[in-house]
Amino acid sequence: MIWTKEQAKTLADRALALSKAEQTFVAINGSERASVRFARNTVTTAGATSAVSLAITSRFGKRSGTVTTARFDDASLQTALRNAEEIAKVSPENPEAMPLLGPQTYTPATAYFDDVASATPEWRASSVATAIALAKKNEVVSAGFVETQAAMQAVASSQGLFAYDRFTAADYNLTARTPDGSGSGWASKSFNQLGLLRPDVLAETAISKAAMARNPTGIEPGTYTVVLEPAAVADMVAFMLFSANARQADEGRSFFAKKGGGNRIGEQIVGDGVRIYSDPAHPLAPTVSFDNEGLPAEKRVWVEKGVLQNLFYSRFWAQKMGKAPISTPSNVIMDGGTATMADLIAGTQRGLLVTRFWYIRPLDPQTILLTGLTRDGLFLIENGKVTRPVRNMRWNESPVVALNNVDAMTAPERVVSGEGVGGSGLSLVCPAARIREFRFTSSSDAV
Amino acid sequence: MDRRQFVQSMIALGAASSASPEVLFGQGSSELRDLADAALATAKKLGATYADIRINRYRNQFIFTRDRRVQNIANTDDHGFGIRLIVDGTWGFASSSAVSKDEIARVAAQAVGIAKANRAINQEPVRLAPVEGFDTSWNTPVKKNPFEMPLQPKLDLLLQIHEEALKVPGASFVSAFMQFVNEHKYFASSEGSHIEQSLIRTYPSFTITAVDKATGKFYSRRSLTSPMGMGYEYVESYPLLQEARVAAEEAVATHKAKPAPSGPKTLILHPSNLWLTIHESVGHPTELDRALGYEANFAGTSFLTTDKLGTFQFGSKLVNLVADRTQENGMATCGYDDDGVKSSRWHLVKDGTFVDYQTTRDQAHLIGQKASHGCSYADSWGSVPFQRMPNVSLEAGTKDVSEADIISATADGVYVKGDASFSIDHQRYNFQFSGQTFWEVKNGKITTQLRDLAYQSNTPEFWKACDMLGGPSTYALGGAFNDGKGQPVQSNSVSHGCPIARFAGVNILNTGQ
Repeated sequence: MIWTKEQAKTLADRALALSKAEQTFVAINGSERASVRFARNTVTTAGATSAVSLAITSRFGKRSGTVTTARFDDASLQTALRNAEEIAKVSPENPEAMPLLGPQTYTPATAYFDDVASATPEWRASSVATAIALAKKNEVVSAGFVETQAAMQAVASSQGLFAYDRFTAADYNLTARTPDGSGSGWASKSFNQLGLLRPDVLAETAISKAAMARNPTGIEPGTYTVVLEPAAVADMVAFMLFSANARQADEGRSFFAKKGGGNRIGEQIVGDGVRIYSDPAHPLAPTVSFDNEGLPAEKRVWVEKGVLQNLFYSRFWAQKMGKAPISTPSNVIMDGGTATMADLIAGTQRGLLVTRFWYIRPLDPQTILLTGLTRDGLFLIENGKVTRPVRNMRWNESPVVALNNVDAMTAPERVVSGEGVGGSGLSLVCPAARIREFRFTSSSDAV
Repeated sequence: MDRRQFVQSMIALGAASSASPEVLFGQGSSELRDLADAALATAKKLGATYADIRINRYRNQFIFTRDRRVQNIANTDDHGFGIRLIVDGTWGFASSSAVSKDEIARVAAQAVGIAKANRAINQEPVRLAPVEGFDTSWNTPVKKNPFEMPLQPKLDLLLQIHEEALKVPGASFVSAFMQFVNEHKYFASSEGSHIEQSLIRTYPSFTITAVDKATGKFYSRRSLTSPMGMGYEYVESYPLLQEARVAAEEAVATHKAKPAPSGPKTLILHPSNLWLTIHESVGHPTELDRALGYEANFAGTSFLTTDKLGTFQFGSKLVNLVADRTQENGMATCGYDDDGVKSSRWHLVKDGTFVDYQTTRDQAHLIGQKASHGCSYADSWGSVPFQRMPNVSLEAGTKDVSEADIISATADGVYVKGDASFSIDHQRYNFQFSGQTFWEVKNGKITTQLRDLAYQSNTPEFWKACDMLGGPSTYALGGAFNDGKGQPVQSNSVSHGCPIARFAGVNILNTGQ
């Protein structure tokens, strides 16, 4: 359910007025989501869901309690408020509790587009029909997912805070597999506007990649130069950035900790060609204008010329360390270069072209060592040309090492990572990149 | 819009039902039955040949503590309904958080509209395996409902964990939490079912970190607890304080532990580690929807294709793997699935041979089966039910082999306890797992603690290498609270039981190199 700013404000004011706590914070979230899923060249499931919920945090001094409810009549609000107040009263004091925010100034966001909010079941079905028709024509088996959603969120406090915003997202991704099970290709995009989504182009990309990937042969695990498509670069960047918590660093519990104490802000951590930042007003990846506590979302550079510029500081840790609070990234944008994909491949003597990564998990937080696999198109590059598809492999590598070994990049584009990061939850903009000495540790029989 | 207009508009949208959640979701509520019957009648009137409705309430309690402080206590309450129906052989589904008759009528019509819109792209008309209609209820047999327990003993216990751990010199940071879940589910179908279930799960856990600022190194050790389909009695019966002390000592000792070896070794896995290997390498590839390609775009397919059913040698003769929605204390244990099928137990792998899949009503016929195994589950009232894992467990050996027996029979190996990093390919062949603690085993004895260890293998090679199984006395349940699958992603809770087990010649990695 997408409420207007006035409707959200009315509910927030009612909840605050009925509160008996010393301080009260409320958060309202509403959404309208609809999707179609397909596989085996046919529709499998489709659905729509409409929801709105209210979270209430009651505070007495440094004691707090939180409850959520989906009922908004006065009696239900009273019940939820009393429950939150009861929890707060029995909760021990939290010395780290920060006062609730008062009024803030926000830059208006542009992340909501009517064409997504008004997308019909017929549009979603027709977008799937396009992919299935192309798959059948090219004699591959398609599976995929299309989703449109509109969402609103509002936060308010007894200290005078009120913020309201909305966003939309349209996601489309699909996999094409050859009928003999020997080749697989994938493509994925997410945008805030429906008009930017091209199901036909995505289907053609996945289908052509499946054909290219057919009948892969084995290759020895080892260290290779890799040309990572933007989805794979996004996985590396996102994993590194989401380890960038100032408190963990200052306490010695992260890659960003300095030996002997403190953190590594100001140190060169990756290659000097790397710039990573967040910008809620980025035209390809607009986001809402505030975070969960009501702090304004701001443009923030994390890495400039390979040097760590910022870590995220909770309000408590910022106060303790004499810094300004910095929210977690509102989106992740990595600048690219001037090369084309063809250039990246042409400049590779011997290496691997990677479509996407899969099942990435951290192995060692000390070095941000990750493990994962390639999927849906891994190709050998020899003498500047893609020569043959090869079997997938497992890799063990740190994004810090990888981003130190970047030697060429394309222009960045809006991208969805291999495990879906970059869709409606967090917008990513990344280039493709050629990276030296990427470590593969074993081969996978999976196609 | 003034407040009065706003309230009226909310009621018009169905945002307020006529009863509070406590009344609406009270056991045996007549309101739920009335709402469900109204939904089914509406769906039928609109042309559905089959319809079901789930009216569900989900309650969670989270308590987080960190460094002797209570960080947050949150009670969440979420309820709503989802209507699923078939029109002209095509599924439609719609849902809403506003539980009222008016909203049910609107959502039923929306679901019909979705089914009709998708009819043109449906190549395989839905066929449902037959099921008996049930008018019944089922509840997790808890001894102490965690939602009825006061907060104070929970807080006291969590903070005691901090005190115990921080008594160990070198222990730097402690975090501990408890989470409790209650799913109250009301299912009704056009085939005559009215099934009410209340499922409860409980999870206490902690993490202790030892930082050496001089070297810049840090190691963490998480508790070996697993979430369980139990009440607060699980928290009270588990030796959390005792383990906190041991965990702190092991986290500190890791700084001086020997680096893990590399290369093939005899691998001994404690149930606190092996459960996750079972989940990834057995639980997921035996899902029929994956084998058929339904998950090809996301979670992946399966190397266990249907041509292998009944003939493929999955593991050694010692290996018997069962799917079981009736398992005591299992998190996927319930009376009935979200298709209304009664829970059961069956073999997936029998004496090493792959013999069966996990199935739902709409997919059983695709492998010639006449009944569903009851594996349909949706993680929310707003989610479409689809094939999810039951509890999948490795049966204990028939002889009562102990942990000491397995250690003493091992000349050169490593022993892994607790789960940590996990990754497996999209057809479930190649996997890599780590653990919480690692131990060197030489000449029948545990000699020293190791660090930086992971093991890699290929699923059938790994299970064929199983050469020793612990007996029933070593059997324990592990489990996952948030197993993701599907688009949009849904998470389910599932348990995996197993004894201690040994595997010959598994590739060990030193992840510190």
